[in-house]
Amino acid sequence: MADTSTLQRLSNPSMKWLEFFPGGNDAFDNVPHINAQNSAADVLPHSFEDQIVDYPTSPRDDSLSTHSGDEHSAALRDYFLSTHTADEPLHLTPSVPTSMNPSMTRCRIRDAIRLVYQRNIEDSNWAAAGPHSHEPTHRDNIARCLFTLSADGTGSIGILGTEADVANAIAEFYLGFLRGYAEKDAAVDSRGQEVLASRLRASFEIDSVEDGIEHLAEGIIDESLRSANGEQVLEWLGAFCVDTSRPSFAASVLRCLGRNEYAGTFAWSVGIVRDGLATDIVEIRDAAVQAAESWADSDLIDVLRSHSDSEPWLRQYILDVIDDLGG
Amino acid sequence: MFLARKITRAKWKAAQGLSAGEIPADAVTVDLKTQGNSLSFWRCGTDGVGDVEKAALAIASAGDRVDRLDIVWLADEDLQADGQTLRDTKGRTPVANMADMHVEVEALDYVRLGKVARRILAAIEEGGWRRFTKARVRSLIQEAVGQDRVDLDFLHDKVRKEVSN
Repeated sequence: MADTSTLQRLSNPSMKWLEFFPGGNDAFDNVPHINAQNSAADVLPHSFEDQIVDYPTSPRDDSLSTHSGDEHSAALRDYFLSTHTADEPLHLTPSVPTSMNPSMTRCRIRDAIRLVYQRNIEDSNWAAAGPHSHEPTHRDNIARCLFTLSADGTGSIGILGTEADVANAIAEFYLGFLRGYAEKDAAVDSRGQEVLASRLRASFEIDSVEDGIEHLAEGIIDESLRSANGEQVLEWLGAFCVDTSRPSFAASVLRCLGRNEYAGTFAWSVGIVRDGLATDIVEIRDAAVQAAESWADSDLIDVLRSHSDSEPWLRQYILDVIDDLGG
Repeated sequence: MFLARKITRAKWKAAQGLSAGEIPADAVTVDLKTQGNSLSFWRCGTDGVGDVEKAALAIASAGDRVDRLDIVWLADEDLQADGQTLRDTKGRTPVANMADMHVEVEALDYVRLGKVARRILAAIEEGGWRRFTKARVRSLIQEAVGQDRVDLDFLHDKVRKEVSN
């Protein structure tokens, strides 16, 4: 379990930075706006996630020294994918964010966590409780990631020693931010649903969903599912998918949702396909079958089998998908 | 000789408020999106399975991802009878011997585009279309890779990953 007193110290704005990090004042010599008298809250930007670490890369163009978070994320992703396998920890060399060494690339911890977490989910190496879950496995995964981040243990902003319990404390801290965001988001639920719907509609107006071609909405859906209120987002998306008052929108959302491998639990997927097949809009029914096809879960066969469609070509498609799924 | 093109079958079903035989506007605006007043087609020697699959391969292998694929094919003589302008152009596909099978139906205006839509609807009603499931599309690409008709390196990352598994 996390050390509550550690968490309290981290979040106490009056706690002085130097008290928490063992690196001493030397660590901040070249950081003009930070000194031992700063509180941890000053040094920790908006959230722990925004803290910066440097990681070793091959020498790069100096233009990288002024990058956007997206460019850092991309560089980290390239580095990680090119140099690591699922079993290797991600070694990030923590340092004070002072001078830019062309052989180092900077990223935010949240990007590193997201990348490592995502990568391990893809490799099925971690027991996935879902990116928004506060289950112990999720906390353990984040703690493991942070423990790896701190393996060098030189003590720097955001990076503590190599003690697992400290990493665990940071994990709880990080999750505390997620919970805080979720609580804040709860108050704007209906607004959030409208915003998501608007974003998706706008993306479909820019371009229609086309088989074989990636669509902007996939990124919107993925980003929304990974947000702090991901479970709420699943409910919203489920509602969008069967909104027969907007059949094209519903079908488009369903087709894009089908392209997301980690959209929801199996029970949720079954519900989506079943509810889609139950509508009297052929476009939505077709999209529901395609979602089942894309998710490629043989357990969806029963849902498909239990449906008898009035459209001959859709009936045939269902039979073909059942066959492809191993039914 | 036939000309094949990707469509979205469900869009061509007369929706609420439309009668049978009427072409939903979404079918035209989504499936017949022109560029430079032109539409892209791929030649099929015949409407036989083998030739249609070649066209399907040319289209599917050029995509960003592997999905199911709906293909419709029209007789080129019907398009010519409609006053359409056909021009052979180099197609963008990783299938080595298909690039020269690409045809632009160009100089389209509102009326001629409507005629293309009418031909597509007729083709659908007469069975001149086919849906390839995602699994079948994957197989087509995998077979072509195995026969060296498609170079893996020329496939989009996601497609390459999907067909390599």
